[in-house]
Amino acid sequence: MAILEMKNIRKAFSGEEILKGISLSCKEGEVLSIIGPSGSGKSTLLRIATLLEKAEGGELFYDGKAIFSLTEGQKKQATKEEKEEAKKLFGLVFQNFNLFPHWTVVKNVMDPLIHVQRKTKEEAEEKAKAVLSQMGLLEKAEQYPYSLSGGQKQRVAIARALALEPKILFFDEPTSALDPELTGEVLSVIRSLKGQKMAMVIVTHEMTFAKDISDRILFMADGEVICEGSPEEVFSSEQERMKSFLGNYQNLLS
Amino acid sequence: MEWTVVLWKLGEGLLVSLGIFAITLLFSLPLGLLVAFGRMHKNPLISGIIKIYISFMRGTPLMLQLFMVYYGPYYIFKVSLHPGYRMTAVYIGFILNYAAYFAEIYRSGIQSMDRGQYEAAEILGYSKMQCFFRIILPQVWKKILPSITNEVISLVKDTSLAFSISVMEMFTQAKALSSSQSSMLPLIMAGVLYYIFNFVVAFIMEQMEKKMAYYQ
Repeated sequence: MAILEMKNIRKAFSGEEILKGISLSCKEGEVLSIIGPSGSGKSTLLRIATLLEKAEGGELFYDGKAIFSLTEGQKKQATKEEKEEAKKLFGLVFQNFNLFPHWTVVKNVMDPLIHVQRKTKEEAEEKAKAVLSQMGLLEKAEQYPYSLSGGQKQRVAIARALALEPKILFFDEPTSALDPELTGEVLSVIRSLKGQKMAMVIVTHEMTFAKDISDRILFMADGEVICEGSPEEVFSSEQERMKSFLGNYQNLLS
Repeated sequence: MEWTVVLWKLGEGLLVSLGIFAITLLFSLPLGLLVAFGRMHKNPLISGIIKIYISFMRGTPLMLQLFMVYYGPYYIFKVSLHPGYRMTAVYIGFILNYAAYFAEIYRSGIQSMDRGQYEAAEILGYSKMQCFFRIILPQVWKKILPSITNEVISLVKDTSLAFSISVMEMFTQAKALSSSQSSMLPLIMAGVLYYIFNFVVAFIMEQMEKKMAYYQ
C-alpha cells in the first residue's frame, strides 16, 4: 500500500493556477524525485503534502487514511487528531535548513524527541548522537548552527528529521542554497539513506543525482505532470516539454 | 541641615523610586506580551481595541494618565479611595503605560521572525505553545533586548513623574528639600543618584545582551 497518495491536487494563488490536478503516490522505501523548471509548482506540492499549505481541490492520504478529500461531491477534512497522527509519519528537509539558532546542534536534534515524542533525556541524547554520527557530525554536537557550513547545517537538518524516524521524508530542494562544493556532501548523505525502509520524496534540480537515486521520477511543468516513470524512461522521453527541459542538461554532459 | 541628612532623605525616596521601577517591570513585561498578542489577534474587534489602547498610552503624557488613574475614580464615580491608593495608582498608571510600549516592541520582534522557524517547529510536531515559548520567544528576546534597554532606562527617569500625584519618591523629596533650604544641592544629589541608578541598569542590560551573544 502507498504511504503517501495525492490525487488530482489543485491550488491557485490569487487566481493563478499553480497546480492543475497533480496525482502521485509513494510506496514504502521508494525514492521518488520531482523535477521540473522553477515555478512549476513542485515546492507548493510538497508544502501541501506536508500540510503547510492548503489545497483547493483533490485528495491526500497517508497510510490509506484520508487527510482531506475535496472533490466535487464532498469537502472533507480529517480531524485535528487524525492530522497530528499523520504528521508523525513524515518529515521535511527545507531548502534553507530552518535550524533553531539558539540551540546547539545536539539540542536541535534532541529537543523534539524529548518534547514531542516524550522520550527521556538519556534516550533522546543517545538517539541524537547516533543520527549525528550517521551524518558524520558527531564532533559538531556542541556547536551552534551559525558556526557550521551550509552543507553541515543541512546535514544537521536531515539528522533532526531522521531522529524522529519518519516513514517518509520529504526534501524541498535540499541543495539549492548550497554552492557546488557543499552540494556533494549533502547529496551523498541522502544517497546513504536509500535502501532503508524510509521512503523519500525529493524535489531537486540536481539531474544526475535524481537519475542515480530515484526509483521513479516525476517531471512537472506549469502545474501539470508531464511525464512519470523510471529514470531511464523519463530521461529518454520523447515528450517535447521534457526534451526541451533536459536539452540543456544533456548538452552540459556531452 | 547636614548633607548626610539630605542624603538619608533622598535614599528614602530612592527606595520608593526603586519600588515603582521594579513593580512596573515585573508586571508590564508579561502584560506587554499579552497586549502584543491582542494587537496581532485575528479578530478585528480585539486587535482594534488594543490598537486604540496602545495609541492612547503612547499619544498622551504619562503624567496625565497618572492623574486619570488617581483622580478618575473620585471625579467620575464619586468613589473616595483610601490614601494608600496613591501608590496603587502609580503602579497601575506605569504598568499600563509601559505595557503598551513593550507590546509594540514584542510585536516588531515576533513579526520579524522567519516563517521557516514556525514551519520547522510545526513539521517536527511541536504544539503552538511549545513553538512559541521554546523556539520563537527566546529568539525574539535577543532581537528586542536593545529596544527594551531603551525603555528601561526611560523608566528610571519616568519614575520621577510620580511627583505629580505627590508620591514621596526621590524627585519629590529632592524638590521639597530644595525649597525648604533654598539650595540646589538636593537636586544635584538626586541627579547624581538617578545617574548612578541608570548606570547600574545599563550595566545589567549590557551583561544580558552579552549573555545572549552566544549565537548569531
